[in-house]
Amino acid sequence: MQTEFNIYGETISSRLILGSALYPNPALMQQALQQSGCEAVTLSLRRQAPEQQGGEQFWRLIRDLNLKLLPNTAGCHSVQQAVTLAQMSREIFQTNWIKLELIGDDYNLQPEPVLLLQAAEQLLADGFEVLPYCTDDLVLCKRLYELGCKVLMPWAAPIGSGLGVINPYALRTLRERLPDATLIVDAGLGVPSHACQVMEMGFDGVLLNSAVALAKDPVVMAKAFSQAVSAGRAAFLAGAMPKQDFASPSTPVLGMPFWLQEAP
Amino acid sequence: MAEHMKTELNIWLNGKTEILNSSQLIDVLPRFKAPFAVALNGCFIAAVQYPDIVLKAGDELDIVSPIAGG
Repeated sequence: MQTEFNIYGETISSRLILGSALYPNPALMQQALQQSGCEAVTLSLRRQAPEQQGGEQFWRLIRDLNLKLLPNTAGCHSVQQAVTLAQMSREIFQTNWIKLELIGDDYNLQPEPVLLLQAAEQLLADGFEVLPYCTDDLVLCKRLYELGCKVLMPWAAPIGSGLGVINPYALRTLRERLPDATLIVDAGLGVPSHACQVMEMGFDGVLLNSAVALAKDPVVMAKAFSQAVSAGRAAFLAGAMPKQDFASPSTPVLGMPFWLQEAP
Repeated sequence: MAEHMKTELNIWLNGKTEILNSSQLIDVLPRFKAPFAVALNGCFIAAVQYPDIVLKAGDELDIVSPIAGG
């Protein structure tokens, strides 16, 4: 079964990407990431606080895991902020990958579509490999793809909501209309069945954080999501049966005992 | 006789006011632990540029390091 896919030419075996935030403690983060089998992890940059020793412990843990790093621009509200943070990330993490987040609304953390396009264009021109966090809007995703974003990361629901897929029609449409784009559902998933659902639709991968980190047992939940992603991918490749609005017996009717061919 | 000029410079360092005795960026950096990256007035400053950067009063200097993120 084909399990690997690629992100800007880099082959990734696991279709599950996890975030590194919100875990009860660093050791659980490390165990959860290991149990998930993920090969890439998201992280970010913030002002260095001397009392936290520059986040040295976190950085050491992440480095020891030897995962591919996907830095984000979380919290940015302008093109300039996002571009600057991306450039800082590239220098520190030595990767051209950037998960471009540009927030347009602080209540639901919905991406700002116009600024997202502008920032993506600037970053692509600067040699970045941009993975924009976007809504499930078809036209926005088409524009991002046309700009050169080979990987798109539409939300299933607002970040951290755990609501699951709030608009299955929009996600199905995205998959159908952008068959060559690498589409990773990012944000809003709450339980493994949500991940399985989008993988069954044919999405290439899933990125999540809160659903694992905020579970009562993050390590077990990480494994559960990993299995759900694999199951969903296998189901997509297997091809689901067509739906119908009527019943159809699975056991043959022919030869059924006790049925009389003719009335006595 | 050349008189030693003491520099006192008010800048914003990671969002807080700071009085510096040197206007050279490289004199500010030793207190920070690697890895870090630098932005001055919202613009990225590459590590190779550090020796050339002279700070001015009111500059906004940001020094960032890796942190967990989703």
